[in-house]
Amino acid sequence: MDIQPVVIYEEDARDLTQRLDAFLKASRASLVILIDRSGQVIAERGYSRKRDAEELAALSAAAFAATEQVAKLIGENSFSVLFHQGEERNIHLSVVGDTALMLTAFDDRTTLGLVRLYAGEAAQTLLPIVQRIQGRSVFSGLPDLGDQQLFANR
Amino acid sequence: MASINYAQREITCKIVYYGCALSGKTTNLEYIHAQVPAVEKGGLVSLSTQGDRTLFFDFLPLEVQDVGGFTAKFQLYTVPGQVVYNATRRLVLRGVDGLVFVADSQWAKAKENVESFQNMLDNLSQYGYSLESIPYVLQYNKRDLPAVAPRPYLDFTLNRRQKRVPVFETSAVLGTGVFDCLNAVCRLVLGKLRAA
Repeated sequence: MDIQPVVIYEEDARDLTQRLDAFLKASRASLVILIDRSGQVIAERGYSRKRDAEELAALSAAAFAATEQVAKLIGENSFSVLFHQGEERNIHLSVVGDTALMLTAFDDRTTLGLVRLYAGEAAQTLLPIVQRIQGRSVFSGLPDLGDQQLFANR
Repeated sequence: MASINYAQREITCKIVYYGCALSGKTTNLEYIHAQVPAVEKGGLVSLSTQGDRTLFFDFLPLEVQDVGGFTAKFQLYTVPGQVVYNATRRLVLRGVDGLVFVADSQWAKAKENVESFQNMLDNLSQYGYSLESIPYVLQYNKRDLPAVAPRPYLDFTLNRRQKRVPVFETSAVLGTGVFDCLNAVCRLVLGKLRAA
């Protein structure tokens, strides 16, 4: 089986931004990241330092995958929500269909109930976009590296 | 799973370093992390035991600006090599775009290399993937050690599929060949995307 890439065009990015912004406003969370199950960032909104989103995505997708295996061991197919509670900040992780996850970071300006409620609604509106950006095979204009060395010793 | 974001002009790919226990997968990432300039990398995340053995994976995000008008991001992962951690090894392979199989060149590790390679095939097949569709390179590591098997022997045991793949003789602790190997797999992965 060939692995089909995720392909995001301007229109998809605009739609994702609009829905994630609406979710942030309604839930009063500080950060939301839409993550491919392999650990890559599809889209992010809210505040994060450069590259934090990438690490959050990689670690959260792995944590979710590990938890999924735990679920199977006790006879569940999967857990649909993961929640990590901190002293000041919390992480809510929920599924968007079978192929994506939504990570929400929030603090005491909102509540778990509110985040949970709006995350469920957001997943519904995000799902059609997630489905259309996956498995696309038609695209063009990718760079040809030739013999170019991308990385080298100092 | 690779993503191509035309809105932000970004390509992101996932590359996994696979191989038997103590073959040098983490050392590859540590060397790369030490050498690549700060603007091109994120932090090296290691989920390891107190004894510094990989428990889940290592993760190193790399980034190259302006590759034909795109920013190319490569997310490097390692798997835990110890046999007991097969469930976590399999999880790391989800959505992999390119593989580096890191073999330990020492004679004493010949059997473990072959077992690990077979384990990689088995775990890939769980997702419906195969080496026919995923680009990969072979790295014969620890060439700086005395009791290493000659390259033809390693080729005979590991590079014997219908399609021969690029091989790199490396010493990850010294850094020899590490970037040649990384550049090769990055080129293969981007080439595969262009052809998709």
